[in-house]
Amino acid sequence: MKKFAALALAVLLALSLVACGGKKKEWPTGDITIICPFAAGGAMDRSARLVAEFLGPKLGVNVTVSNVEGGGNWIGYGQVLEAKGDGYILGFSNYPGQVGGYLNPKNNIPHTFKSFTNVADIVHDPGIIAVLPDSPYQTLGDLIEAGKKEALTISTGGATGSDDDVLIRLINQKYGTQFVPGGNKGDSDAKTALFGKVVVAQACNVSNYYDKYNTTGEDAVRVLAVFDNERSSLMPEIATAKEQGIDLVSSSDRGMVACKELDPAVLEKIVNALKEIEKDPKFIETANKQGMGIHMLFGADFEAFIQGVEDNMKSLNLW
Amino acid sequence: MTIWEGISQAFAHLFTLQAALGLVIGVVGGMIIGALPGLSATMGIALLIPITYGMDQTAAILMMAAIYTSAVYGGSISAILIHTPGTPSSAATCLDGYPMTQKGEALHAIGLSTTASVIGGIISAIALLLIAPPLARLSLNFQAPEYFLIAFFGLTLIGSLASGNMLKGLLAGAIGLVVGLIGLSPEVYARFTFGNFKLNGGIDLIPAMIGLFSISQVMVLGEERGKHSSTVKEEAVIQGRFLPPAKEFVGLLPLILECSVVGVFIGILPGAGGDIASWVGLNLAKNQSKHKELFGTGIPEGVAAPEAANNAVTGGALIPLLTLGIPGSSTAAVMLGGLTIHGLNPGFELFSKFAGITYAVIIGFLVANILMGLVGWAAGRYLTKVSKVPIPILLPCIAMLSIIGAYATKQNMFTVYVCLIFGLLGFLMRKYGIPTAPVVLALILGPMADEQIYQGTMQAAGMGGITFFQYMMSRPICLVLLGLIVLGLFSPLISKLISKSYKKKYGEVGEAAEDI
Amino acid sequence: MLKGRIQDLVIGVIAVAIGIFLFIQTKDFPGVTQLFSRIVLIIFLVIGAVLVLTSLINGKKPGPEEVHIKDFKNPMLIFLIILVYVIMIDKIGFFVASAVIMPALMLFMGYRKPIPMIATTIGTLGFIYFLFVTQLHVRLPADLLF
Repeated sequence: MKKFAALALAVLLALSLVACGGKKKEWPTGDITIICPFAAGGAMDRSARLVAEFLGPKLGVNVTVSNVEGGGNWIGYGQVLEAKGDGYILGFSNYPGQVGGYLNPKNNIPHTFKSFTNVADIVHDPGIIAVLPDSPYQTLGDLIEAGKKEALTISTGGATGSDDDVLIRLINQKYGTQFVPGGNKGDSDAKTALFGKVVVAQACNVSNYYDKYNTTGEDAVRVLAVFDNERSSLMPEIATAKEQGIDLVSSSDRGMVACKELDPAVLEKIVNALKEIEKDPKFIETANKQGMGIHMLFGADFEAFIQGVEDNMKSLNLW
Repeated sequence: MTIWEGISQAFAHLFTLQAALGLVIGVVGGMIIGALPGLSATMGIALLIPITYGMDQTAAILMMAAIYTSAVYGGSISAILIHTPGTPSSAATCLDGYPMTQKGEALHAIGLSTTASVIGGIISAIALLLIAPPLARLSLNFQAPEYFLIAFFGLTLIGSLASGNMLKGLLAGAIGLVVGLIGLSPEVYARFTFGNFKLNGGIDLIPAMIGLFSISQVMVLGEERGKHSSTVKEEAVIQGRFLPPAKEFVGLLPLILECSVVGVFIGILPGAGGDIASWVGLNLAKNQSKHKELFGTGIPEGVAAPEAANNAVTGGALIPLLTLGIPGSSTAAVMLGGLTIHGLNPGFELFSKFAGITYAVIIGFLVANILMGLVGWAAGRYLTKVSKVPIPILLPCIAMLSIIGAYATKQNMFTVYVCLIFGLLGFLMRKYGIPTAPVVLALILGPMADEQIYQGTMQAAGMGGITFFQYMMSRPICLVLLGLIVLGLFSPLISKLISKSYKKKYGEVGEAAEDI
Repeated sequence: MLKGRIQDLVIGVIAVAIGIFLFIQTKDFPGVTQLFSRIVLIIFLVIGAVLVLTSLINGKKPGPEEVHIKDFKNPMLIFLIILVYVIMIDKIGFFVASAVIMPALMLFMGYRKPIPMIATTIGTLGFIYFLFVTQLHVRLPADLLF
């Protein structure tokens, strides 16, 4: 009888240990999905996939990207916001795109960036202004002087609210220029306009011309300035706007977000994984090969940055 | 680096196992992706890019290019067999392709589509190989005003595309234009969304097209409830052979070549792709035909013309992509991402530093078109068996594929509900004699015209404050396009007047003769 | 004949009504947006109006065939089944919904042979699973089984 009782007790203990072990199993135990509200193949998607590619091995599970488009990106963002806080569904967002989306009252978006858990800013793509090599404008100052005298159109990679568009409006606001933002439908359209010589310049980002700014082929460009606090490692010869006396910064940023109720323990794990990835030379190299600059901001720093973006946009009274 | 130097370097890259695999997978996979409603070449390439990560550059890009041309061809298969365009560029093929299936000529239709697609693709590959740089430079002359006029021109085609009641055809086009207004305007102003942010992106083309063509078709098939007939009218034999008879082929060849050239040209233009080219091709065929009224009943020209044009777009779209880094179509835009991921930055560097790889891809693309034809030929006979499947079995399959196709484009359920609404609309339209094809064309061209007017207005503002109209009139290509539009609009009127006065003259003589 | 022309009249009237309704909405549209929207709506209104006029005027010419509403019964039922299908996909998941609805549609159409029904359903769903889930990694609506 005693032997039996002892055996039963041992089995019970063993079982309870296994059960406890099961409950305490570490996140993640299954595949993670990053929702990217942009089309597959585009810059946002490639950034998300790059992060997924490196995050997977770090966390030991498959990380896949799901392209949920529609509703001006907000169907995808909506799915991120409605996900459970267990960390298996994350999101990828871009700035100022997301901000412009909810600031526009006609869009009927009842959220702001504070509705999300803002995990990290990952890809930082500073704004630039490019002209054709035979353009009369040798410096940013030349262009701005010309812009003060008459209305000139600068093509942009998006309409009102896109980072290129905002940059031009900020320049107008601060320097009294009369630049007309081109309102083009994408970087390709903007590039066509530049090379077709129907605009004087193109406002875009480092990733557009990081390989064409110092070449001499038929598709080379002259970059007048990089609008960042420091020079871009992808275009080290180009002076920043600040260095040239124009105190403006602008960029397109892509980062990771999640729902508000994200488990803090999970958040910490993701942030740590990202911090390690940031130091991985292979990650940086792969990103740079695609023109993506990496500059991570976490938590409060990230939110402060987004707040700055929001304030800038509000000051422009776009809507 | 001359072309011949480039080509000789290409062979080293091309004759590898990986490249061959990439080619084959691309062609076969592309055809399947293209045939499935809702999965387009654009999506296919985008989803398969991760698979290319481990491949070498030539194989990866070659696979993408192979998928592109093969998917555009594959779309015609479902268009012909089940009146469901597999990709937007095959919508025009439905109009005559499906009636041919109903007449039992499915194999003949597929054979025509294959032949035309292969020829179109090869011509575009040759253009890509030999005259890419000058064509790319030419494309830079097309800016917002030109694109606006092209969209306008496309819209005027609607009148002639509507076989039968032209007024109802125009109404369909107008419906498409109004639907195209929904969503954020180019000025980022939400139109007709009635507070629902999910409509901010507007009505997507593919779900609407699946609804209008495919779901409506499912509903039409529903009328056969209780009857055990099959899709094909004559139950017995599938007539026709795969390869078009020599006489027919020779007769169609000028049309196919013409549509191919037009297709290459449309492909070069960054603003226009296969979906527009197929309609332009169909319109060309109609204009030059001596029996216009037969279009829509299942005639060879109605299949060959759009298919030649849409495949010719593929190589054409690669021209500005490779030379300038400006994609010539939305599918090419995804390939731009693919090229970047593989460290190949488009531009003139591709033809100098990476010439070996680039020419390998181009030649491989040429081979892909031929391979695509062979696969189509081999599979054709089996594919046509679909037309013999009893409707009760076929109907749920079409429904399921359509639904999942509509879902897969944007990966959310709202899109599917939109698709259903268009399905109902499409069914009602078909019943009341309003053609559905113009809606699709207007849904593409309306937003395009909208975009281009806006961009053009912005550009004009920076040219000394002129209006869009003045901007347009200052450009020679625009004046040419305007002339073509006017000609196109008034030529049927002019020819009618001429024939009327002709009849009057000889009519009198005829009556006088009778009096005698 | 007459009934057919009344149908056209109704279509035209509906078109004009919708056109006017939307046109009123364009009141607040800015610049180019308003211009383009109004051009489109005017085209729509004109065509609708012409349709109304031609259906009233063309007394002598034959009109279109009358469409019998009772012909709609089966197609509309199919539409309802598909609507239920989509709602089921949303709530229960794609594969379960398809496994239920596909045979249901076949039965609705009057088919009775079980083997082809089951084989087709399993075959096509298997193909979809292979293609979308394993090869393309597309997330299908939340599923009970997958």
